[in-house]
Amino acid sequence: MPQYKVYQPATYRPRMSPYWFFDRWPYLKFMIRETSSVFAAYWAVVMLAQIRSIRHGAWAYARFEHWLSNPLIIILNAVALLFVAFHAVTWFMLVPRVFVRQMTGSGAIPDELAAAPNFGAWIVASIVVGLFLVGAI
Amino acid sequence: MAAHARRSNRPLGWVMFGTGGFLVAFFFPIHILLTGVLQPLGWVPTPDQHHMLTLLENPITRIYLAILLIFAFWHAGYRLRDTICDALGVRALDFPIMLVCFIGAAAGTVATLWMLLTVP
Repeated sequence: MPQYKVYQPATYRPRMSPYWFFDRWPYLKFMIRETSSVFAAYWAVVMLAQIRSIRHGAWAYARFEHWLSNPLIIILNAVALLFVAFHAVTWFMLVPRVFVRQMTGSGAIPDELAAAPNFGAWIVASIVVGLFLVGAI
Repeated sequence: MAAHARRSNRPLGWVMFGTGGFLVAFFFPIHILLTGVLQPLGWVPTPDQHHMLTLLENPITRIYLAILLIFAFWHAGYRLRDTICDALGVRALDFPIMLVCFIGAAAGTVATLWMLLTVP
């Protein structure tokens, strides 16, 4: 007869706090990047509303502009800008991680150098789109 | 064996997510900065409706907006699904959450195409 007690071992279930992403900076960074999707969706809807107002004439466009000038909406847009810019920077910095880092036999390319073309293209794209948006082109 | 051999449809979602991620990263910041912040504050000029309509009537502008917005909606939908599951700890509800997010992205796609194809 065995001298030990027979029992069903319990399954290991680690308990996670709902605020697990505040535990470490990389977790928080991950969650900030994930949350940028909320603001990307928000801005895509705003752009649709802008297109709709442009189609519906001067009065509708003026009403859309009036809505945009609400201080709360400006603050919301500034927050959206921060999140989307964070997404952009982290997205561009992925390049050194996913592309081959050994271009020459001399060693690995520094992360910043590998991501530099992305940032350069970002600046050029922003200037071109920006000129259209302010009516300079 | 058959289960292992079955192909995943995840790469299709990843293509939409990845392309959308690039487009959102490249173009959304300048749109938000100018249209959402600096123009409402009056710090940079705001073109009138006539100018914007002329711009919108150009096929290149509409192709640009269609590609940008459609991929942005799918990028956001794909990521929002994981954000909701991770932030709220409801991974068990992954399927209905995915359904809602993807239906939202599909609705955004239809709305974008309709808006841009029916420009007066």
